[in-house]
Amino acid sequence: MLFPTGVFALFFLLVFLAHWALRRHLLADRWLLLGASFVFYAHWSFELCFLLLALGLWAWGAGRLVAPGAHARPPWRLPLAVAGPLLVLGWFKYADFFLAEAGALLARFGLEAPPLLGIILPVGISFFCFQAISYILDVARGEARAEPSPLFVLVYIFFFPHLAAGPIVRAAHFLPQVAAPSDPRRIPFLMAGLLILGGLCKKLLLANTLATQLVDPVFRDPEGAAAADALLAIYGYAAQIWCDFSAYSDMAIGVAALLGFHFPRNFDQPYRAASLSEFWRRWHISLSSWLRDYLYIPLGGSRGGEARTARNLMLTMVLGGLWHGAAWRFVLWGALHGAGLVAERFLGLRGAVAGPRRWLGMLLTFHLVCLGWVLFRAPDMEGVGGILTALGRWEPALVATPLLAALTAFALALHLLPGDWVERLERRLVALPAPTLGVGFGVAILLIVTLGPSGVAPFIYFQF
Amino acid sequence: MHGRAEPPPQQPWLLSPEGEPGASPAALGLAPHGAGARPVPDDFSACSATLPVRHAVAAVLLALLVVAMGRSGPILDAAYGLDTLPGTEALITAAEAWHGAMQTLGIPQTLDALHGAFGLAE
Repeated sequence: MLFPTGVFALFFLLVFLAHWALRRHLLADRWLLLGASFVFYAHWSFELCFLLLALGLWAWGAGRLVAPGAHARPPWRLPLAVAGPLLVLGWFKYADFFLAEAGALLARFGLEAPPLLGIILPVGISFFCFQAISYILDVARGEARAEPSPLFVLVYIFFFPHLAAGPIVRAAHFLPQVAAPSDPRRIPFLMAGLLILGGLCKKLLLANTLATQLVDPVFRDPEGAAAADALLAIYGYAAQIWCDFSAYSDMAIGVAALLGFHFPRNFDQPYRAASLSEFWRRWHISLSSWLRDYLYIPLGGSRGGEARTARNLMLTMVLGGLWHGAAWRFVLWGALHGAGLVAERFLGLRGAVAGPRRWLGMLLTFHLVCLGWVLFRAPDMEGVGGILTALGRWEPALVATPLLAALTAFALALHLLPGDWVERLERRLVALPAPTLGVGFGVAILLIVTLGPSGVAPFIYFQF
Repeated sequence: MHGRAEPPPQQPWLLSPEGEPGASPAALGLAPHGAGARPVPDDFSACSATLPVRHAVAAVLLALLVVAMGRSGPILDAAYGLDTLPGTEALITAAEAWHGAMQTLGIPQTLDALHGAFGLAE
């Protein structure tokens, strides 16, 4: 079930009305939210709902096992607890990848390759596995309490706004919200609506158009692309992936806010970054902070000398790359960012605060990120080579048009707006009465849907 | 809009003291580490405007009503695509009546014209 569809609108309306009608009955409401989340997921796969249920129950049980208590905790408990979600992730996401690699290796020695298992990747598996791990680790660290009943844990992991593509919400942040009733007197409707509208604009008008008319054709056939096509497609993909993923995050944050729940911001104008380390503080913030707190720091972080810091940075980014997909190009993408972060650290290039040096840093960082996006978007390493080769093919453009260039430039120029422009817009609209806001949002949604291309492409991050 | 004059003006999670569960991302350590690093801003703050639930419900219903008015054609298509079950016939009849009423008002035609004139190509 995709956010910008009529089916989701109807689904959300029913959940929204029932949720607030049950506001005096916390347990009934949480059962409702859990049921709604499974209905949301069953729209893709009914069978995989049982996987979700099993994973959630594992996380809950593991939380009981690793909770700090009066008795000393055996050292094997925590690795065992975390192994559950990691095994689920490894099986569904990486089993075929490693089988294929093993097969290729065996073939070199003339041996028969094992058959691939043909495992179907469940939508959002990386997200809900990371949330399950977050619960287990937060409980083990004493930052979240071990829930006595599985209900709240299941709602935390599978709450439908973040189920398919994040943001990855921490247990310590979200569980207290699940355990307490939402206040019906204070729904941040205006900001939620603006986030949803902005998300629809970015997804339907910008991301979908750039994907179908520019990025997909060029990356599908880079041999037929001229330099201008390839260059615009690379910039276009930078715009598309930001519009696509931040749109999902914004809509998820808005939908959750309408139900009285808070998700932290996941994107903060990432292409304003003047260094890679700043980029990762602005891009997919919930993932980068997850990797920092649950991987980089436990590995030792920046303690233990420069060599160990470099190793920890590289390991974190390579694993972060692998998290995105089971393919060598994602590993290379992570390694590129890791190497960039290491270089920045040891050369002291942390990004200027202001002035021409900051603009230069922004330009360099943006183009380094774009180079990484080529690895991210191309179907394979051959495709990466094809796109980079096309950059030297000085022929008349076949795909790039002034409209597509304008859309790309517009999407990227949104990064130059003041960081609080949505809050400023909210302050301008705050005096409007609720019915006017409702009609206004309805008209705005209609206009976006009318002006955008027909149909809704799946969100890029669903595959992760 | 409510929220400016009524203390406390927000959902409790927006006002939680720093460092406690439910606090802001910065308070939870989600903010970047290091000297000079700027804190991660949040979409919501104590300044965010809020509505009581009955006003929010009215606004959501009105927004979706407006959307349903403009999307009467796709709603009818979706009704025609439903499996044959008890009640399907009634749903189709209702969708046809709704689409007919919207056509009488000229809404789908206006939106089609807008799409033709300014819509981004397929």
